[in-house]
Amino acid sequence: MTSPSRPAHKRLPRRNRRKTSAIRSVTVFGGVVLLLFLVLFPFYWMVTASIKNFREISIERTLVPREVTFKNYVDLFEQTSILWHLFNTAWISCFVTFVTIILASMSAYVLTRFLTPTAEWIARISLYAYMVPSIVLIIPFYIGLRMAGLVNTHAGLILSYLSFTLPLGIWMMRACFQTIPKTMEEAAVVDGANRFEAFFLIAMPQALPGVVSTAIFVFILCWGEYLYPVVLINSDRLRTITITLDALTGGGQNIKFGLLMAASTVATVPILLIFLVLQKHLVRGFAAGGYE
Amino acid sequence: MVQVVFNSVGKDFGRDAVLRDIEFEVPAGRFVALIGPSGCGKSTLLRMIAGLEHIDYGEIYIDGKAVNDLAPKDRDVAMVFQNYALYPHMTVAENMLFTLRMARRTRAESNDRMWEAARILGLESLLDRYPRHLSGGQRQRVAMGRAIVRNPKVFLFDEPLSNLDAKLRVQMRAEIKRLHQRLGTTMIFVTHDQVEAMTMAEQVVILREGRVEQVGTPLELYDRPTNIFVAGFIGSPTMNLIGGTFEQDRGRLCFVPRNGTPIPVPPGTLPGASKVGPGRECFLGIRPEHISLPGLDPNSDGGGSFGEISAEVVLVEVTGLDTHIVASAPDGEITILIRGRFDTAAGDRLSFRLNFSAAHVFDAETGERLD
Ligand SMILES: Nc1ncnc2c1ncn2[C@@H]1O[C@H](COP(=O)(O)OP(=O)(O)OP(=O)(O)O)[C@@H](O)[C@H]1O
Ligand SMILES: [Mg+2]
Repeated sequence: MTSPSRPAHKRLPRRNRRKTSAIRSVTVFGGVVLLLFLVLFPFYWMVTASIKNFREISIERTLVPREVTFKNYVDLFEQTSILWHLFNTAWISCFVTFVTIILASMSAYVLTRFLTPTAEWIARISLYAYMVPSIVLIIPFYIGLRMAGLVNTHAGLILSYLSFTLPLGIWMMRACFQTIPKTMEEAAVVDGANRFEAFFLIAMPQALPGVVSTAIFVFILCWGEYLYPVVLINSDRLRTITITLDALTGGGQNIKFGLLMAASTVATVPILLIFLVLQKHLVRGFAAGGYE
Repeated sequence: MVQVVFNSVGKDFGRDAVLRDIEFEVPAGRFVALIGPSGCGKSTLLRMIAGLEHIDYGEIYIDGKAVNDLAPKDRDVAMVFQNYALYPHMTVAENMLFTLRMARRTRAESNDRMWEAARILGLESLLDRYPRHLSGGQRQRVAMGRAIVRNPKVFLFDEPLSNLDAKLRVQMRAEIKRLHQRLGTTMIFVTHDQVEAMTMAEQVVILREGRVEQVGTPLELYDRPTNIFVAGFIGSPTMNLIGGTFEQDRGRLCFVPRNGTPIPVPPGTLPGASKVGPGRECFLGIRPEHISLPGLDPNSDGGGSFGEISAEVVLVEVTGLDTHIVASAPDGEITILIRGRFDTAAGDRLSFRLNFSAAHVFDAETGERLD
């Protein structure tokens, strides 16, 4: 028996469940291993293939590279402007994420705090806007951007990205603000804050987990966006990373697997790094509710 | 000097009139309790003073200035919310400093004030903690600290004690009262607990369904309730209301309870009774402590202003200090409060003495006091 000084509610259930939970842990563990394998194996393949030579990739198909070579990377940086494209993708994604977070959190705040009767409608419309597939919008967008002289510019690309990141951001941030009680802001207003101070100093810090998850979501969407850059951009200097990868498939006939795998690795690493750094916040953001 | 004035203040939420014709004055330095049943508009009225709700009709004056169009920060009021509304991402110290930061006070001055408030409320050891690591009572204290650092003209409290357990509530009650004596600032305190209002306030405002029912000192409300609602709301156990009529019987005025035998009204008591025409329905209101047992009442003045009724005991409740007896009177049940102990049991038939000089008469139709 537990001694009375110990918090009984923390210890007892655990002990009673020990046996069944052992069996369950094994099952869960097995499932996780399987899932990890399914997720990680292609990743492993990509990274190892990028440091194999042509024979090992295409003919011998070794699992573990016998001979490590960085020729693919050297070729990649010499033959393509992948660094430029990476830089383009990075700054566009960062910029769009930043603008989305600022605009979406402010709009979402207004939707949850002021326009309550109509907010439901506006929010729903923004969700529908997000759900309209890009392929439907691409022609009107192209025409519109051409009239504005923004085809083949990053500005045009950024505008087109915002057309789907903003609705998504508003929707996510609204869910986040809905979980934050108004009374703290009211207290702040009585304490002498104006609306902006109440928003930036009181509401936003509490919404931080939601901001982080929204930012990651938006950033990944931008990073992997393919359709808009392929249609709107035609000069090599302005391309994004997805187009580089596409070009390396050589239209499907003469695929340079080594180069492609090296390029894929280069394209994936930044995203992975971001995930690793922000993982803690992301989990907290999802746990904080509003998204379930 | 008068600090806060309500001039026929009203408020609508959509089509519902939530507050109507609120008129009263709060003198400077006074501790006022706003009291009423749930949903009567207490919080709404408080929020209108703070500037969190628009004043739809009438004006509210603070320190002689109409504040209808003033932003909350220009009204110089501080508010303690029911759920405390502490800023969760700030420490106790930062919570208290926030308002000074908004007022662009210097760092040194802010820190002095914060320490002063922390000292008054005994928060010195908690300054680095976050609200989620505080107990209910500590949070309550931080919320008050946040209000007092500013040294505002008016303090507003919205049911600050309702989330505390019974013991802590009694303790904080005394603490708030002491704080008021120390600071001397005007306080408006919302509660739906009449004991809180009676024990803490110097002036009580009773609201019902968005209207002011009565304004007065706690004892005025207790001794001269203006209508049946106030009579029933203030005091515990509640006042007995016996329905009946006043009739002349062989030259003497008698109170005739519904389905009961006439009780002669001693001359010189119940000034309102003579104004009631014969046959007009009304209520005789008498507090449980103004009913006694013959021979038991130490203040008995020889029976001059007493009336007698006989009733059967239904229930006996003993608190240790008092004995509450519920007895079946002709028109429903009555509660009797006896100071000290008294040995009786359900089924006993006793004769009770009603102290008519402390009784009230209310019109059955309007509920208004008659005298
Ligand atoms: N934002 C609002 N929109 C619509 N009606 C409201 C709103 N706020 C309050 N009300 C209504 O106004 C009335 C008074 O509300 P209020 O919160 O002032 O009551 P209260 O006296 O503080 O009650 P309680 O003791 O339960 O706190 C209630 O009937 C309530 O339904
Ligand atoms: Mg309330």
